[in-house]
Amino acid sequence: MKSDWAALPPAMESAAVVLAASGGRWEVMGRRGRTLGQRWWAGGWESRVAEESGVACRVASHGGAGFAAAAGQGARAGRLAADIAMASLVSGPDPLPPGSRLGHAVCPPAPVPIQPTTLRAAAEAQLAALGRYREVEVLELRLSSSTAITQLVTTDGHPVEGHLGGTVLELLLAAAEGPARLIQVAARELGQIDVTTVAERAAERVALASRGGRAEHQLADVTVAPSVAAPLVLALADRLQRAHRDPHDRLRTVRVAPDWRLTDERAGPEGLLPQAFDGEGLPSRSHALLADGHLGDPLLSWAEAMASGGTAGGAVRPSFRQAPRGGPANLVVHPSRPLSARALLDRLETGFWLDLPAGGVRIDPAGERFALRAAAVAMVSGRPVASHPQIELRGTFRRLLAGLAGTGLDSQSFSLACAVTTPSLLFRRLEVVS
Amino acid sequence: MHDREPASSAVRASGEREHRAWQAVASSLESLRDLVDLFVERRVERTWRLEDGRVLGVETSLGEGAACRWDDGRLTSCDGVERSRLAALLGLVTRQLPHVPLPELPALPDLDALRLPASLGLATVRWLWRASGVAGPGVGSAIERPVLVDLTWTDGRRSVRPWPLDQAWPPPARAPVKLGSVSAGPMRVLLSPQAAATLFHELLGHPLEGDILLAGASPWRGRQGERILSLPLDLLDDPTRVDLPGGFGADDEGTPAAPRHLVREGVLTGALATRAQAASLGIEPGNARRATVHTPPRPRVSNLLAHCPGALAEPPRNEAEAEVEAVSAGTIEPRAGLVVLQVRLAHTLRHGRRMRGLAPFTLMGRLGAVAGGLLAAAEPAGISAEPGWCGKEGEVVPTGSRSPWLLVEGLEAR
Repeated sequence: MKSDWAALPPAMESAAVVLAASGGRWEVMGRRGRTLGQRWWAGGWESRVAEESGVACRVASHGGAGFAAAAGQGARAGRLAADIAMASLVSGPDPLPPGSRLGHAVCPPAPVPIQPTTLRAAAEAQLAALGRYREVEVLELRLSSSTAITQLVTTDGHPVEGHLGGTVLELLLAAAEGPARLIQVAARELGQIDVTTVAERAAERVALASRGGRAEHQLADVTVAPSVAAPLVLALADRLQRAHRDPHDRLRTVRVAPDWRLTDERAGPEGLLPQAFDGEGLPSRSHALLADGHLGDPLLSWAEAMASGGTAGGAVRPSFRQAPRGGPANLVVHPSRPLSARALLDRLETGFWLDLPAGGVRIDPAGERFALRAAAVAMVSGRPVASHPQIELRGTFRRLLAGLAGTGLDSQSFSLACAVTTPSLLFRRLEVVS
Repeated sequence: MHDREPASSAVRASGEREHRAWQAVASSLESLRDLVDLFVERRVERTWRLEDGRVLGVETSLGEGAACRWDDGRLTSCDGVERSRLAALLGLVTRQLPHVPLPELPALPDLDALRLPASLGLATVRWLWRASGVAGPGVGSAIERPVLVDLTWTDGRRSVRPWPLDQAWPPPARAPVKLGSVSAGPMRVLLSPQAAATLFHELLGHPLEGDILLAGASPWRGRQGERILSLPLDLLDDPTRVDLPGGFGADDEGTPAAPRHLVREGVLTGALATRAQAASLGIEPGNARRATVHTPPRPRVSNLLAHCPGALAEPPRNEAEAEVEAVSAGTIEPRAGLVVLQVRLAHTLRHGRRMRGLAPFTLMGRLGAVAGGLLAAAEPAGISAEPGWCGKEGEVVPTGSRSPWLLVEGLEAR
């Protein structure tokens, strides 16, 4: 086994050596990533090349468990993380999955890293494409591209390795009148972003609801475009995780609209960010969170699954600095009886079409109600009758679960706290506030 | 005016020895003509997850890394501070690298050593230590900051404070069980010091950051010397207050910390700048803050201190329709000309008495209307305990504040 460790980066190898001498069960996770960034703002460019790396150790020994992480790739980082993990054991069950459960799922190959000059050229091309739309002012452009490799080795051996990568374009745009709008485009690779199409659609969207009055406070049917649906879907997935932890949570008994088909497709191939294994080395698989009118199972780490009698395989680690916990990684809303954009709007006899969220989803302290601001177009019998630069969409998560009445064909991916891929969604009777 | 609270932070004036060491690095790097500066940092975070006072888990993260800024606008950064990594970052071979005086890692505390009152009923406790150094042409400085504790409760409350805790600083108020709904519409409100501080942060703090001013995105651009507030209020950004979360000994470009007036007697007098913006704005630098080694220094608020000569002796509850006790977040939308406060806890008022608690709602107002709608300030001023973290471009830094109570019109409940 030691010969396997020698092939690991020095930080992982040194951590494994320290932990192997401890006599307990252990796991070492290493991550190395590179992020390139270009930002155009106030007429000037900022360029960024960040190489992020670190090692994390989990250990179970003498009836306790410990976790520590350290930045860097050198042997010292590994030794520090291992020593601190060993020195900070807290009484509790062994959180580590057995080695026999670890392994890979089949995932797309690692993305090819790009050069800073390539990213800059793409950013400049995007800026030039937007320049053709004189009615839209570009306030800021951010383009970033990341690649990362994650490795994991445990007491039992079985080293696993996975690759992640993605590109995110963010545009802060404004029409001649109206508020600034943030538009995000996310793709697995830079080459998948078509600057001409992005510019055309962005200009259309920003101009659409730049002017208008206030909407009356009302309950209304709403169709939310993918950009608005994505943060709502993520908030809902997080809220479902919380509901699973509390047997008395009222959300567990709510009626779920049959159109909901929400899945964590962490094994891919769908979604923005498929990955080979979960946050603690279990092979990735598909997790249904909402299907057939019911709540699915929660996303759980091994320790959470052992404590609750559930199924592991749903652990995430946003970075090496955090211990694994159950949570969404690659959310996908599968269109159920999908409708064209026209058909979705036709179903809005009186209601609103929402796009371009402003800020994130806000949730009340009790976790029952959400609110999100966005641009809106009032619709009557499928036709636009008024535009509103900003309204607030409010409701309860119960309503969000019960009120889904249609899904579109226009799925788009977003890089939020996790990857989210969703089409437009039609909800009945949510609260609209100006 | 700014009567200092007892210094409760573990920060100390950076020793002469550390400064000299960083100045020596600066001298050694002078031959790198394209280098703006080298920034090196170590940070430690230790988090305890709690349930009913019992520790469920402890997570410790050691962060260390370095970043170089170059004349052409590039920022290159890496995790790890091994000499080979630092040399590669600077484009040197290892033996050319001067001695880089890395901050010494602190002893890791256990939870008992934090001496937190058991009665707090916390969900998580995060202890944060961070120390840095910066060197570039003409600049060499160690950078120290207060040690912080970031506290969360199961009901969503959050507070960041310098550690050791000042026992006189109360935890964020808990919401009553029964809450009514706010009546939508224009509302004259009485803001608690915490809510008033959030309003000042959004209304004046962010829009006076140099990058926003120079981009033309600030409503206060070109208005220096004008009266912009209806009250004769003073507003000071003071990073030297190391008893507040946003304190530092030198900013992240190595400029020694100094208080700066942004508003004097209601008149706009200052702004916040890094070295990049200082000359264009005609002001001194000193407000550069980096969220991590991987992000560039940007002009940011540190600790905003508001003071109003002639403030009322007590909050004028009989003149307001509602009292806003706590705000969970605030934002400014310069282009739309709006300031937005997310109210976490408020009460209706009648004849100066609290009548009922209100469920969370939004307060929104036009910038000009709110700046001109400050009707009165009142004692006792207070230090804010929540939320304490400020995000800009996704880059989050701790901030502090001290503010009086504020009677405001021009805001609308939604």
